[in-house]
Amino acid sequence: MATMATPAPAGDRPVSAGTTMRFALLVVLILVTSGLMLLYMAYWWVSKADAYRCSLAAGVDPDHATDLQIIVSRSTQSLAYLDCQRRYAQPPPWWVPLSCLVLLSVAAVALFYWLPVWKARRGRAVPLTAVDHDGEIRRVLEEVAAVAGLDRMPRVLVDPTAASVGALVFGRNGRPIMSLHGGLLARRHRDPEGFRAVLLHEFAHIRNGDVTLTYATVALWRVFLTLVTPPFLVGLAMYLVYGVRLGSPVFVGPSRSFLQTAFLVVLVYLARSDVLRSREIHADRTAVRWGADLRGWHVGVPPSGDGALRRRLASFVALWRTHPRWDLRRDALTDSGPVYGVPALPMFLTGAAATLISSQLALALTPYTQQTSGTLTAQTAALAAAGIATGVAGITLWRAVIHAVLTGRRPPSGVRAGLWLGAGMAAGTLVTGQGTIEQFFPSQNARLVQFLIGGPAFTWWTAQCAQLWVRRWRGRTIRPMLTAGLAAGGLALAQWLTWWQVNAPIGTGWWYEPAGVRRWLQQAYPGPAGDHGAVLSGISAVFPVVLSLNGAPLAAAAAAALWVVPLAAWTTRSASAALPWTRAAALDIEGAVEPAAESLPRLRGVLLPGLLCGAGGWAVVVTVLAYLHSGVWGAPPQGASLQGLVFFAWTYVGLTTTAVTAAVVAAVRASRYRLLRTLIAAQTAAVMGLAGLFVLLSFDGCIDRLSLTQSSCAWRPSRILDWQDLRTVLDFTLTTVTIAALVVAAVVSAVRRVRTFRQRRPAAADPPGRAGSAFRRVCLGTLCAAVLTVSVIEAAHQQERTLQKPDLRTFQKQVLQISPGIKAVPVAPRTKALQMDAWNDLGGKALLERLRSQRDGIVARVRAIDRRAPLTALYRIRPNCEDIGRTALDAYAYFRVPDARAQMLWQRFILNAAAATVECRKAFDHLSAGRSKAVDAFRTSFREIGAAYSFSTAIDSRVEEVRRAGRI
Amino acid sequence: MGSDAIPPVHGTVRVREVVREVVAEVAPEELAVVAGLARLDDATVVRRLERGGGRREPLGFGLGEIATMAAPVVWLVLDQTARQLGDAAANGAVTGARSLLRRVFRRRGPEVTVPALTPGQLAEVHRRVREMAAQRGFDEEPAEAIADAVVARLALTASEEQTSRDGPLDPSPEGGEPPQE
Repeated sequence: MATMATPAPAGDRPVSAGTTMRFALLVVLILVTSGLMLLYMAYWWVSKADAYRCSLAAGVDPDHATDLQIIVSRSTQSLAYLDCQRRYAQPPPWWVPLSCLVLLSVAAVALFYWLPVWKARRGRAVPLTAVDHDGEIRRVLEEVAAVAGLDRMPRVLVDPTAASVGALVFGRNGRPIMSLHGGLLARRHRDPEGFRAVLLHEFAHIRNGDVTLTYATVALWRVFLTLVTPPFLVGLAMYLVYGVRLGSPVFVGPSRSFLQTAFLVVLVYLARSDVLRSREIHADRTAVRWGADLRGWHVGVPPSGDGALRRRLASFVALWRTHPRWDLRRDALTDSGPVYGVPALPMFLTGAAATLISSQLALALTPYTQQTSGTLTAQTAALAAAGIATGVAGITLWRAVIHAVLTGRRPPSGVRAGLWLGAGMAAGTLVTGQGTIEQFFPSQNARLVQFLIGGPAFTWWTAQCAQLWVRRWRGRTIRPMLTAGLAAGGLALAQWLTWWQVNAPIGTGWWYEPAGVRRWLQQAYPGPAGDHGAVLSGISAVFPVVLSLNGAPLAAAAAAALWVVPLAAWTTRSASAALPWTRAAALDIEGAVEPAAESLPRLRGVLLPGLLCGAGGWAVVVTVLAYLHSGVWGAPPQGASLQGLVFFAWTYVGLTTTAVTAAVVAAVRASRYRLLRTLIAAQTAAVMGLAGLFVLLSFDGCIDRLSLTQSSCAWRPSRILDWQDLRTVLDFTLTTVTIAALVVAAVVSAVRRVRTFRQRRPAAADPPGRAGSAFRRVCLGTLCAAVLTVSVIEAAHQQERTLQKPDLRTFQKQVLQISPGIKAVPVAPRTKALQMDAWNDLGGKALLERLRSQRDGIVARVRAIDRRAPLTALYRIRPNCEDIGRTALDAYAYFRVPDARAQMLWQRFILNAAAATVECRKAFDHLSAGRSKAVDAFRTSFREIGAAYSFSTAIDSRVEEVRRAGRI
Repeated sequence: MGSDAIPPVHGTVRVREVVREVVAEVAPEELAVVAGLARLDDATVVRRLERGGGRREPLGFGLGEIATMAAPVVWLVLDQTARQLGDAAANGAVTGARSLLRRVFRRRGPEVTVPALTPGQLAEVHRRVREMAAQRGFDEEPAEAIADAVVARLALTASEEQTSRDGPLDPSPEGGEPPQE
């Protein structure tokens, strides 16, 4: 058995190569896509769902409707639409797609185990013993395996028919198989060093653990292409044909699915090739470190041509290959720069894959969770996607920073990488059609720009955080700080993706109607609205943003992590010249040197703007309370009142303004770590202000002039904790301050950059900080821990709220109030007939018949009563009266009739039915009191029932009329 | 695995035998490869040798070139010659079907043999070997050497065949009638 002669390859690297995460990204992407495709197939062939007719019944005009019209039609009738989906577009049982996914995974595992058997089959390869009669080749192999530190020799085969001077490994990490090509064997005497180089390269693949990952991806990809994609495409084609036969003009969805499949194939192919190329480079470097002859890489490359076009074409072709170009391989052997670089393609692919995973996972889960919690679904999907994307993009950035710091180069800012990441996300969003329903492109295309902003924001922060900790960390390995940095960045990215997922309707052009929001606020927060007209208008404009941020329940934790993780760097002792973890790292980086000791900027300078502005924020809160108490705004607020709302609004404005001031001061003063220092200053100010607010309100009533709702002095923290409006303001403040700090840091950086460019002189450096005392470090550490703990508790609370089942009736009422108005457009007779038909079939007709049958039931019961019987005998019809009331309620909850005339009749029908029940109840109430009143009420009730009955027949006639006009 | 290999008819020689002997003479470093080829049946060897260097596999690594080897040159030319001279070429479809069945049932195909060749045929083989060797990267001189070795080995078979047809030259009294003067 061979022993390890050199350090393990993985141990030589400061952080892992990141390729494992890239393989994981591919596997998750393929599995999620497969899951969604299987779900669609189960919809088509198992549950035979028909959501299209629910849309028609809701009055959607498939010929002309924009996404905005569709979303307004559906959301303002959400009770009826969800009920229709539950009855007619029921998703297949959850275990159907899940079982298919399990079977798919089993098939992939089976293929994974079968592939090496197939590759090593008789007729393709022969065992080494068949050609190595004197054991000479075996001895060389064992010697090289010992150099590579392999615990066990792999099984070795020979492919005598392959004339190439090479070899390959396949199988799995635990049981690798190496195949030596005939050409290599023939050349081994003439070029023993070349022979060793090939063996070392292949053994490096085995040591680096490449075999299982590579062939697992190959197996899963082949299973996806052969077992999932063909039936899905067939189903899609059948769906299209079915739609054409029905006369449905809805082609965007299926077309997008075709496009999405093609995009996925290209994406996976490019990403797989890219990650395999990285693995090749790592194996090359490992082999050379083990002593492989560099001449093995001096392979003649045919010139790609002189023209720029030819060179570009050659570069494009190279993107699709699983092996890097020889010139790149040679360069990478002596310069680790490209290995630790941040190339554009993987960033773009990672961004696109993250969006695909997020949106497809949410789409697959939504049919099973939309009745409970849509936000939780979006959050789960976003966390999964952001976690993997952060693993790939974040590790790449950390590696690049480590390399730059250890080789004395300028660390990357991360902005360029972020732009590529954002571009990938935007492309993924377009392809998946997030923010669209039946349109191909979202109405608000400008929204896609947010990805081009969010991508760089994430990578900029990650690169600065990495730089801070790489220069500061003194542990034996950098991995703890890498993990903390990635967790914080990933959490923020996940919140951003969740927000976009939950607020995807914005892409359709949907936004809150300010007048409706104002009305809703006046109802929810009663008070003298006339006294606060301007403030109320301002709140109405900002409130929708507050509501939209409810879609990111972990925002408080993410905001805290973004400034606490870097601030924690000041809790460590000053870095000496030697950073222990860099010693191992230097083994993998040519020309690496111990980085010069660097002191952090002074803690006082970092915290002071935040502390001063935080004190200012506290003063603002006191002023607002004092102003409120002066009676200018009317009586002090009790519970949910307009005065309370105004108080929160001013508090928010005050706290945010002071925090932004702190951000500007910090950004202008900082020359290093500008983003991090700006975030720390802004959040310190915000947290201080909020802490002051908490203290003041907890002791509410103790200072007369500052009391808000209490008159007696007591410590009441629990009341504050249960105050949901206060918590909403808290979360909103922290989120907006984070975004504002990012913007401020970006603007100041851009201005500085332009100035530096013009003046051609570097910006002034920060004064170096002195080593902090142990006491100060402990205090800071405690503060960081406290902030993190409080924000995690707050996030847990918000998370718990998202788990509460929403009240659909209230939701629909609110949506009706705040939805934008939609202009009615003329509908083609045939489409109108289809709409009426769907409305009638999916519930309208049943409701009309139900009322008629209930009316018949009452008539029969009344006739059965003996004329001489006392009036109390009419108690027998009480259940029938209540049934009619229920019918009226169900009719009210059902879709509006997609025809103006019929809708008028329908409203009358509902009113009459409801009035019949009300009168009936009155009659029973009067039975004991006075006969005449009871008789009158019964008469009115029966008249109302009769009217409802007449309207029901009129609606039937109108339905028939519209059908005839549309010729169906 | 059952083998359909049958001893060569007198006056013929197995392709693999010629390959081994020629390689031992002109490129002994390829003997390990020939030993590997010997474990495969002729049809598989020819099919895979014709395919050339093979496709790029993930986790494969090579020194970026195709080795110039004598064994594939000799094997392919002899196989081609044998097929042209024998009746195999005439029944290509039948052979293809048989080959497929053999592959399915993993049975080894018959070994290809080359009959004794006339001087004209030997010259043709010589030309083909040189051509294919040149195609596969050999310079003129080694290509000539391989072709010479192949022809020499095949001429030996032809000579044995001639001797057999003329009767053995046996100097012993039991050996038959001495040649008439």
